[in-house]
Amino acid sequence: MPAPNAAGGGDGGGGETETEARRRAAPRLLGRGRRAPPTAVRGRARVGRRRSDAGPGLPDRRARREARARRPRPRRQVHPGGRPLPPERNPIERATGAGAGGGGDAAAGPMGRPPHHPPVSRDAGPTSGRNRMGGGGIPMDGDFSAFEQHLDALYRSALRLTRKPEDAQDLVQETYLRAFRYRNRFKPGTNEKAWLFTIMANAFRNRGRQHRVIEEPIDEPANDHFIYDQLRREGLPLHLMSPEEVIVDRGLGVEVRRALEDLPLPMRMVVILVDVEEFSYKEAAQILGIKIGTVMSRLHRGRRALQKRLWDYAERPRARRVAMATP
Amino acid sequence: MSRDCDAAMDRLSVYLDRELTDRDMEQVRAHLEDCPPCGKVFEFQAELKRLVRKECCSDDAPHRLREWVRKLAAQEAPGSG
Repeated sequence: MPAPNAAGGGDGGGGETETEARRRAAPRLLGRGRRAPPTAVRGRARVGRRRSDAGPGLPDRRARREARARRPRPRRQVHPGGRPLPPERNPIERATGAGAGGGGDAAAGPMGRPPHHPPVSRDAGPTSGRNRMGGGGIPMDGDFSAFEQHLDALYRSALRLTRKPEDAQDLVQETYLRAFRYRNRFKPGTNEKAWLFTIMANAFRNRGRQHRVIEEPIDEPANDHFIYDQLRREGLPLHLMSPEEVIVDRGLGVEVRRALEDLPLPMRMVVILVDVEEFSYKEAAQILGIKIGTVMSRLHRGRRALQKRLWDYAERPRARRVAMATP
Repeated sequence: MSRDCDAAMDRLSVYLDRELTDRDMEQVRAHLEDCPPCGKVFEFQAELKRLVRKECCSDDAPHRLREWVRKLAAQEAPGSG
C-alpha cells in the first residue's frame, strides 16, 4: 500500500517506482519551473521557502481555528454544487422558468446524490475506475480524484481573481497541491467544494501579501437595483420587455466579466462565491474566515458597484457609436 | 410606494439568494405576486443575477491543467499493488 502521506513520503516506499515516476512527472506538465513537485514539499522547513505557504493545510491561523471550531458541530449538509433549495419554490425559477443552477458548468453534480452520502463513494469521473474500491467505505485519501470535478469552478474563480490565465493556472495548481498534501484533513461528508475554495482563498491571500495592490475607491450607487432604475428613468417600456431583452439589448451581458474583475478584491471574492459559485452566505463566510454580516455587506456593496460598472461599460461604446453615426 | 414595497425591496437581494427565513421568504414572495411593479424589479434582478453567473461560468479549465490534476489524483490510486 502506498504511503498515505504520498506528498511527503518520497524516500519511504522503495518498491513503487511507477508511482514515483508519475509523481515526479505530474507537476511539470504545465512547464512552470518554480512549481515544486509534491515530492519535494515535505516538512515545514522546506515549505517555508515557498512563495506562499504559511503553515499546514489552512495556512491562515484564523481559518484553522474556525475549521476546528466547526468540526464537532453537526452542520446542515449541503450539496457540493450549491446549496439546497429553500422550502419555497426557487424564486429564480419563478422568474425565468429555468433552474437557477442550470449553467453548464462542470461542477454539475448535484443530481441524485443524497446529501448524507459521503463524497468518497461517488463516481468520480474518468479516473474513478482506478481509484474505486468495492463497497462504499473508501477513505477520503483514496479518492482525491473526486476533487477534480470542481476544477472548472476553481479555475474560473481564479481567473476572476488574478485576471490572468497563467496566474489562474498557477493558483489552481497550488490549490490542488495543498489539497493533495492535506487531504487527510478533509472530512468526508462535508462540502468538498467549499474546502477547496477555502484553500484557494488562503493561497490567494498569501500571494496578495507578497505584492499588495492598492485598490482604488469604488463608485457605488445607493440602491440595489441601479440598472433597473436607470432604464426606467430613460422611460424604457420595461413592462413590455423581458428583462433578458433589455439586458442583451443594452449590451450588459458581455461586459460582466470585466465589470466583476474590476471590483475591489474583498467584494469580488464574495460576489464570486455567492453569485457565481452559489455558496450560501454561511459557506462564503467560512471560506473567507469572516462574519456572515461582513459577507452580506460586501456582497451588497459589490453588487451595487458591479451594476454601476456594467452600466458605465455598456453605455460608453454605445454613446461613441451614436456620436459616430451622426456626424 | 407602500411600506410593503419598501420592505420587499429592502430584502429583495437576500430573497434572491434564498437566505431569508422561511417566514420572510413567504412574505416577500406574496408581495411580489401581488404587486406588479415590485415583481418587475424582482424579475429584472433575478435575470441580472442569472446573467452574471452565466457569463462568469463560461471559462473552463485548460485541458493541460485538467490532465495535471488527474495525474496528481492518480498518484495515490489505492491498491495499485
